[in-house]
Amino acid sequence: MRVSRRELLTGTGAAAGVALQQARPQSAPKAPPLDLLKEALRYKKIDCHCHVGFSETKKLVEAADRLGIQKLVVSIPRGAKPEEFRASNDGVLKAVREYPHRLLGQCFLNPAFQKEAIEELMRCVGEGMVGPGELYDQVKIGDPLYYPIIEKCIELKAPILMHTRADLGLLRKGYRTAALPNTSIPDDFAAIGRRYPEAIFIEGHIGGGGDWEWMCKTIRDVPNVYLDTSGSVSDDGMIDFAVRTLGVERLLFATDLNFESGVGKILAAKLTEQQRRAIFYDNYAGILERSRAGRPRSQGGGHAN
Amino acid sequence: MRIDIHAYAGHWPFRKLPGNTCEALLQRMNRYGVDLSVVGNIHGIFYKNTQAANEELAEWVRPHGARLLPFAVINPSYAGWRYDLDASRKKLGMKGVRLYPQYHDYKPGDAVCIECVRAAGDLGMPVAFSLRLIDDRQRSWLDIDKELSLEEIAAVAEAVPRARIIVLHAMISTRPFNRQAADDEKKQQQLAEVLRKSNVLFDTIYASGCGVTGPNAYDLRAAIERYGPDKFAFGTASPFREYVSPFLRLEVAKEADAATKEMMRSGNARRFLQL
Repeated sequence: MRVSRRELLTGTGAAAGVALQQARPQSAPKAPPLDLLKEALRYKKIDCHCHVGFSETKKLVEAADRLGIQKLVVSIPRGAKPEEFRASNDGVLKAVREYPHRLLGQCFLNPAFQKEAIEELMRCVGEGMVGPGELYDQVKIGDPLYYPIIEKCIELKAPILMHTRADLGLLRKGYRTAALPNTSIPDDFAAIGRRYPEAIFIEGHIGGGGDWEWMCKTIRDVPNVYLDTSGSVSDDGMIDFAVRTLGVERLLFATDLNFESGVGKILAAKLTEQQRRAIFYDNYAGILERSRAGRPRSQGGGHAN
Repeated sequence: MRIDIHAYAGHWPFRKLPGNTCEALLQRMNRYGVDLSVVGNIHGIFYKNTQAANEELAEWVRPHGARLLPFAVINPSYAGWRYDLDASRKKLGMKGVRLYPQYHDYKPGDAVCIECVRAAGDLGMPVAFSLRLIDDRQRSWLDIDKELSLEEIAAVAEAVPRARIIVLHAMISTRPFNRQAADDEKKQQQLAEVLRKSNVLFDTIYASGCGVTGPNAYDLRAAIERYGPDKFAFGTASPFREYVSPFLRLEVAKEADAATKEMMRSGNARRFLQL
């Protein structure tokens, strides 16, 4: 089996590790160190789970520049009441207008106010947003309050991004957790994914601090539930496990503001060049291409070009 | 030159860790350009008699002595720790000590811990505390949910002023991990005052060099301003965490000049480890 120089250096390709071991005794002189930043900048990226409103938007875009992230899908997940979530979404729209070629919007909703939530979804989609997100912990994703919103998203072929936790305290009784009881867990995604197989659900942040093995194993057989790769946890082997369990096509690159580890965890995984490109860009770009929601191309930038 | 002040070998009982041998660590070091790694044995966190883990580690690093600097795990609440400490230094060639108060069920401020830090110092060994091993949200039902705080580390530093203290999984904030409460600025400043004067070294596991941070990270530029450029050193937490992000965290830090980056890559570690 031949292993290219790039595969050897980056550890991509199944044989790379073995080849390294065979090629060089442990104390032999080192190969020139890989320029990891250069490697990071080599890939086109869409961050499908990020936020504005936590720092200056200019700083956010500059941070994305440093890691070579061309587009960020952003939201402000705040606001229980209709006037509050509308204000959050106005904040997103303002940021997107400021950086139309870099930012795509997601709209935050509280489905407890069902009529207002659907009106707000349609307003935001009309303004070019790609769909609802990051939906939070006011109502679980499996609650019937979400059904009309999900059905609207099916019509639009719009992805639905929602905050997820898989804390021990949420998965098993009797253990402490800081998460609110209505926080969606992987089991909720599996159930709603089966109820609406034509919907596109994005389970938020594999590295959001919970049990990512549980997360992957729970949604294994629900192909319309995607997993985003964001979160502060960047355990070694996490992305490799997700690829093995879900398939590379169900993983979507994201940072949730953790830029270095967001990119680093994909580069560190033992992936082929094509798999890296799929996670960093192609998978989410494909979802947007198929969607009827999002900014019209004529208004600058298109979805994911 | 690059030194990793935070690596491990051994098994973690709650999850399979890829690349958890010294040989695998060396492969990573070679691939990414790390010259030296400080390594501890995970088993020492779980064995009651930690000396068995230190003996294991001494065997593991022996073929790679020039590249791996072993740190002993000492449990000062267990019988014979003074003998173990002495033997680790003089017979096993350990370069420093790692303490795990939260796993070994004592407090950093307990007299026995202070005594251990002092005794390690007498042997010329720096002492490392790890604020956590993993994010407690993902812990096993058999694992603990306790984390150390920087305040506890600062108290040890004040109690043993000549100690060299390494802080692993260092979260440079008074805000505990995973909590959204706003930091108390006055408390931060008081803590910074103590730690700035102390001989402490933080790893860069949670440092963000790009100027924007998520919940479990701190802004490296602000942290350097607050604590000084001599307080930070490159660390990977391998094999718990993937090996690439720690490099990116420093590489994207445009605000840090070349000299500061060099200090973080190796200079501060060399000074601290007396290499």
